[in-house]
Amino acid sequence: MSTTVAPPAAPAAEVDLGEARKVGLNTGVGMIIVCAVGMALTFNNRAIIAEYLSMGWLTLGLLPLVGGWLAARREQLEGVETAPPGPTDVATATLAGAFAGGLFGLFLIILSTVGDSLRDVFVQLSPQLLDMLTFERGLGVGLAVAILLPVAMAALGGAVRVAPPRVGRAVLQVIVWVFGFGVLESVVVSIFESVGLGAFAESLYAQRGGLTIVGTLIVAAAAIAVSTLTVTMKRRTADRQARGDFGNIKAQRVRTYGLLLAAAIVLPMLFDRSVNDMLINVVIFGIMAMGLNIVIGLTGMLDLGYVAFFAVGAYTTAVLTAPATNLAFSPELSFWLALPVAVLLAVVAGVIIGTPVIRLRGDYLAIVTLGFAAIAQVLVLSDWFAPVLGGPQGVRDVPPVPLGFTEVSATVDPRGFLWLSLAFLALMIYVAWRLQHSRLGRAWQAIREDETVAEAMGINVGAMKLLSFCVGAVFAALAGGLFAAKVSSAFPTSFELLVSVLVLVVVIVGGTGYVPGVLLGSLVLVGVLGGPTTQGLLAEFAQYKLLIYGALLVVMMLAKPEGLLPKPEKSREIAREEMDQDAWFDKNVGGSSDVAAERGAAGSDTEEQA
Amino acid sequence: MSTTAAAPPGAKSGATTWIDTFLRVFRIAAILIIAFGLIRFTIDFIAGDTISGSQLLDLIVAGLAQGAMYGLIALGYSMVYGVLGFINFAHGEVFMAGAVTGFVVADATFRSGLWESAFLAALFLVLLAAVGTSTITAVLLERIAYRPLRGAPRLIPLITSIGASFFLQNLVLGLVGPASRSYPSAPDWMTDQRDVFGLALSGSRITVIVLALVSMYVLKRFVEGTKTGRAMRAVAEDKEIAALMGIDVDKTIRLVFIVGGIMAGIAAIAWALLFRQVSYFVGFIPGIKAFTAAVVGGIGNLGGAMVGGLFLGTVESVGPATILDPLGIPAASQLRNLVAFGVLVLVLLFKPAGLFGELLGSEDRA
Amino acid sequence: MSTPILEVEQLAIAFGGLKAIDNVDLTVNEGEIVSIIGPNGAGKTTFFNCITGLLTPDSGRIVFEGTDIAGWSADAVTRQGLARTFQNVRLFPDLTILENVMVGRHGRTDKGLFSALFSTPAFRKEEQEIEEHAKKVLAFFGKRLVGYRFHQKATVLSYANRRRLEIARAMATEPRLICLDEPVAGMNPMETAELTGLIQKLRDDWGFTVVMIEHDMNVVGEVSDRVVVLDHGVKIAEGDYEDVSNDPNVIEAYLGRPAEDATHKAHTADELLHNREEA
Repeated sequence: MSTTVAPPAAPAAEVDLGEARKVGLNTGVGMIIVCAVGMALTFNNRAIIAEYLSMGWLTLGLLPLVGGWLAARREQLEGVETAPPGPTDVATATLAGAFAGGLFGLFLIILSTVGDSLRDVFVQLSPQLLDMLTFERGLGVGLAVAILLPVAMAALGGAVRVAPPRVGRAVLQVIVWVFGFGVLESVVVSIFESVGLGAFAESLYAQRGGLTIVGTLIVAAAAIAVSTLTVTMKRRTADRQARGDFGNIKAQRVRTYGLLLAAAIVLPMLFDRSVNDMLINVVIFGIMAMGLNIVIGLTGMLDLGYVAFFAVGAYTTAVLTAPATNLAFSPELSFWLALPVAVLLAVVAGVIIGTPVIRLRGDYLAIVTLGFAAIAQVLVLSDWFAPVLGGPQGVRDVPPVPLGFTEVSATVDPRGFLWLSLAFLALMIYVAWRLQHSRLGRAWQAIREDETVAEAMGINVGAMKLLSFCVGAVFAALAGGLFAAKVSSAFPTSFELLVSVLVLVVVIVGGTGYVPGVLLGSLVLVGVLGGPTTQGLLAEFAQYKLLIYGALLVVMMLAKPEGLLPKPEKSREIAREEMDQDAWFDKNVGGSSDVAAERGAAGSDTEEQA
Repeated sequence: MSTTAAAPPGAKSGATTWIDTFLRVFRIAAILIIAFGLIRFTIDFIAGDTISGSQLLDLIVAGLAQGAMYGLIALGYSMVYGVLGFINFAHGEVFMAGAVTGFVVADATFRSGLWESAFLAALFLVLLAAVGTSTITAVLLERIAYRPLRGAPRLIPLITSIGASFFLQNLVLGLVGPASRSYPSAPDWMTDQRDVFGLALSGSRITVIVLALVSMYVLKRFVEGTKTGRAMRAVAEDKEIAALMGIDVDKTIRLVFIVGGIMAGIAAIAWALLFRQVSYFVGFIPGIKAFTAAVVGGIGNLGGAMVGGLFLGTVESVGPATILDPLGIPAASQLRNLVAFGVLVLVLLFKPAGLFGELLGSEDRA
Repeated sequence: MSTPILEVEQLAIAFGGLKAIDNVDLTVNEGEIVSIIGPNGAGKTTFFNCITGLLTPDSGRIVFEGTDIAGWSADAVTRQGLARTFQNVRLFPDLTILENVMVGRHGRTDKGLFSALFSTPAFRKEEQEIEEHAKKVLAFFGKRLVGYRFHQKATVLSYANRRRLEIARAMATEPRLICLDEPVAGMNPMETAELTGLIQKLRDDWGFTVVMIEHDMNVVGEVSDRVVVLDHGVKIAEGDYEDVSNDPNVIEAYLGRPAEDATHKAHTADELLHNREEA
């Protein structure tokens, strides 16, 4: 990263060749990977805008867009005068696009010349891919697109970065909305149909999938409108808060919860079966992620064996409820009796696994828990445990969940099962929230921050860590029980080690330590990309979700380790201001000026001096 | 609570808690179970009720060969941990990348006839390809994923490396597909059983063990005897001071990854000789086991990593027959992985610093 | 004023071959302010680590209010009534200022999982008590750490305020004896003077017995009832400030190695930044 050393007196904007090359080549590699793993071709079957834009091309276009956006960024160092963002930055972005395009063009040439012989190894370099990239019109057209598309998109990305925030935000919103409406076609249509606006939905979407041109324009217009509206509203709120008017916080909270409750009741009625089914997965993995969030987000223990507790929950529920003939033990209990047993067993498992590991340092803990989960999986698959757990065949025919006079089965009535899951989710949100805001939650966070000091504050670190571990286990077991009831079975394949990692990604992408963030992560990842063994909204992602999950984990740790929706701070101040205040204090020690009140802060009622 | 036990100096919390009690019970139980299995096995063995002596020896040699491979991979874990203080979870994929590329080249030489006509030359080409790919993968990993995180809390790069591991695994899955492919079979003179000191040993196994020991020896000479090796040890001890002494820390760390990559590449060839089958998934389990080997040997300790690998390979090879079988567990040979992970858990519980002691920089001891 | 609250007898700990603490005796009476001084590396912080349970001594007794706490874990020691601050200021950076102090109440409260889940009246009362006590403790430092500050993260604080917050956190554990490890290090003269006054208040108004490690001799002279001098892990002098500062052994320990002493004075800030921990 060669930051050009501009003379401090007259900062002149320069095209940053090094940055353009770096970003451009990375972008090019990204585009090639998207093609070479078959993603582009698979995604090409789904239209975003009918006949004009497929998801495959959209993916190929978004990469240089993001690349251009990144390339146009210049580091703003405090105290160093830099030229304001301007056309030169767009030029840098465009240049990055050219690098990307060049590399991608090279890939296209290789594909068209020796692609056939490469296919033995690189199985996805098919003629269909070549057809897609050249629009079946020969290498010339293909090359032109391969080079010009990245250049144009990168320039656009750079322009978005340089443009005033309002405009940039609007453009991004349009892209996100069009992408979202294109991808979520089935959801949107089912919603519109159930409220009697099916005709409108049909005018948005083409017969064979994808938005129509009119639909695209409508969506774009809506995006711009919403973008403008939110900007205005945010500014208004900020203005109001600057005046010290925070509104009635309690009323706002009641309103928010009311809305959420209403949404939880009403939305499942609007969705069709497949969407509700997907949402059940979101909820189940959301519960699991909330538990892992307690273990890693609050307490700071990286538990890679988390899936073991999920398996304990699922298998206990399955074995206790299913009328299995191949098992040594099948009491055919009710779900409501089996679930507490599952939770109890998870706690026992938590103590057995947790006690030996809690004294280990963090990274060893991660690996040992992984080892325990691997042991658990080996045991489940082994002949040794087959009489109890069914071995590779697993446990089948887990009955539906009895509820009063009726029973809820995810296969028969996904909507009902979703409501059931949502009820569990609400319960677990309450549990997580209560724990986080208690002395236990504070102790966990103290341990995360500094174990030695936490101990010196009178916290029994071992016991608290074990408690956190077991609470996490309870969440996972509950999710496991629901999962077994949902898929009416428990198979060893549902409890691979990667489940732990996927739940970890959900927690990290959403925002560690913050429940709404974790749930958002579950919605986006499990809902759209798909859970460990479940499909998300888009079947196309199924094959690539692990690739995307892995990349996301790396990118998040590098760029935004706090997650997409991190815990908001109640107020932000910088140390500078603080020191000024202290200096002021030192000049006026004992002075009666009420600085705290001047700042207009809430809740400063204890002003007594000791 | 008011015990004044003469705990070892520097030990935290001398007061006995129920956690200590639990741990003690856990350890005693582990020892009893293992001892019971071993004694039972010894009795059966003498009575001739279990596997024969030559079968046992065969298991040991197979275990040693596999362990030598674990040892080679473990060196990469150990060096990165020693220098940077985190577990490079993606190192297993570095190995996998080498094994898969090695297959591609092996397949090409097989088609061109070189594999049959000049096996050693072909094998050398395969080795070059595997080592090259593993090294490049390791260096890219360091540059892209780990360098920006230097100095972050230990768990951050660990999580990143887990992500990188999944990414690499699935990238290869996407590129070459899910099918497991088989290296062309080595010529008979390579795979034949040979008589060494009265033992029938397969040539591939001997090759692997020799290859690993030679690599280990060269590496040890390199780290202990050269200026670059000294720079590595200095960086491991204290990066800031090393930088002040005029050592290029970035370059030295890159070198650590290069060396780890080379060893993983050699391990990939060992894998090819032992198992022949490769797929995108071959890095995952060996990776975790190699990490176990590194921990067993004392992380940061190079000689320890190799010995740890040999130890783990042997135990996992003979463990099912000598410990689990006598306990009456059916189909104990399914439980090889159980033994390996059991070793990991037990070592960390009994002796977290490994059998030969950790060699870590001052800031990484905790 | 003369009941012993802490009696350390023949305390010793060695790291490898180095005797960090070599058979040190120390008695602290209730209501005293005792300073521990000595050159760098004399074993002062190690001594603190031993009596607060972060290290287990090799031998010796640490009798706190009649109970031998040698070898206890740190959390048990703290619950017994012995709190500490750290030389290199170790706050919980991602917690808010109020939460930092509320954590200090952990050992003094006992509501568990189920009270928290069901939010029982007793639990709510306890939470309220925790918060009120934390606010009361923070108010000890005037208006610096109160009001809008409550909900800021500890990382936003200036250096001096971090030290204050650390003391507040230790105070929240309701100790009988509070161990301060270089409380005024890195503070400017104004801040030092203020904190010196507060240390006296800790005893006079809050009833804490204070043991502190301090390098600033003005502070030591001003507040200490008694001064203990450590050098190479051995107690070389004990008495009031006047006596100790004229003790030939002490003078030798400091001035006999003028180079080391000078280095120390020149690099106090450096040393702080380096977060040197003797453990």
